[in-house]
Amino acid sequence: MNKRQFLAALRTELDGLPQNDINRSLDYYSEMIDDRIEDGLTEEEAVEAMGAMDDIVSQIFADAGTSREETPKSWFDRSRFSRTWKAWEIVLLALGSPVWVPLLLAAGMVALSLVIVVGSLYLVAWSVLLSFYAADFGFAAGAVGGVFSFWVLLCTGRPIHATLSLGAGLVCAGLAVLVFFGLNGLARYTIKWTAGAIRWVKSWFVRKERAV
Amino acid sequence: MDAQLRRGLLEVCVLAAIKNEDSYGYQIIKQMKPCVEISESTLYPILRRLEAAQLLTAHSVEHSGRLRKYYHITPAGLERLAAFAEEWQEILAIHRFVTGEEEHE
Repeated sequence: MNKRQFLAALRTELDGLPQNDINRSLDYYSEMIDDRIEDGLTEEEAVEAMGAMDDIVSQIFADAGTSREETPKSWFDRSRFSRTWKAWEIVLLALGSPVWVPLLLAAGMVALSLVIVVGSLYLVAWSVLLSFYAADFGFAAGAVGGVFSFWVLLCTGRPIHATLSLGAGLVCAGLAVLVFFGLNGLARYTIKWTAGAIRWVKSWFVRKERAV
Repeated sequence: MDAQLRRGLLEVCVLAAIKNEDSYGYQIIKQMKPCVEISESTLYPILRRLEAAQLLTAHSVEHSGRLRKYYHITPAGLERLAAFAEEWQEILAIHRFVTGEEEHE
């Protein structure tokens, strides 16, 4: 992880704290990383030297005097639902249920369909990538075929055809190699994006379980 | 080591590191190294607590195109260090008491 990524991740984790505290923490770690770099470490090593993100974050929260669970993270704040309900609130909730229950279900359906759509997009991306790899395999097969027919043609006394065949085979081989490395680069990006999406989805569910 | 005890001890260590001369975060860690290994994430809340208790103050100094925070000990901080030196005698006595008792058994 480089410095920019580290600080961005830290900022996300500290969401919910007063902006002042967040800025102070970011400044502190930015300075620490810079000092380590000055000392001779690479940016990646300096970031690693800061330690585990979990430790860093729980220290900051502990110092701020709040536990992570108390700080509202988003509109979907689970702690709001775990306090004791007053009688009138329960009655109102029950009376209003014909209204808010269907709305909540509808919202849930929309959210679910969005997740499915985005998920399918990733599936499509992966399928396209894999089919390109398959095509690349075709190139490699062409290379092998070219060499094979070069040999056969040479043995049957047709040197010119043989050379043509070899040339074609070599072109296929070259293309296969170039495309392979190009696809690997694409695959790396696709993996990063997919991992990022999975992390994002996970973050919706994992927040509350973090210990202080 | 007991968490509370360790935290208190680390606080006086940090104060001692800036006793004679203002220092900045990473340098404080390096200065404390012969005595105790402390990580950035542990140091941060200590500095914040000491600042809140007004045992030190912080000011920013420009360094290589960025701002570096220097920490300066206050008179109250110096008092804390002196108190620790005195407390130490008491701690030694308690230590003798605790280990001495075991010898007599």
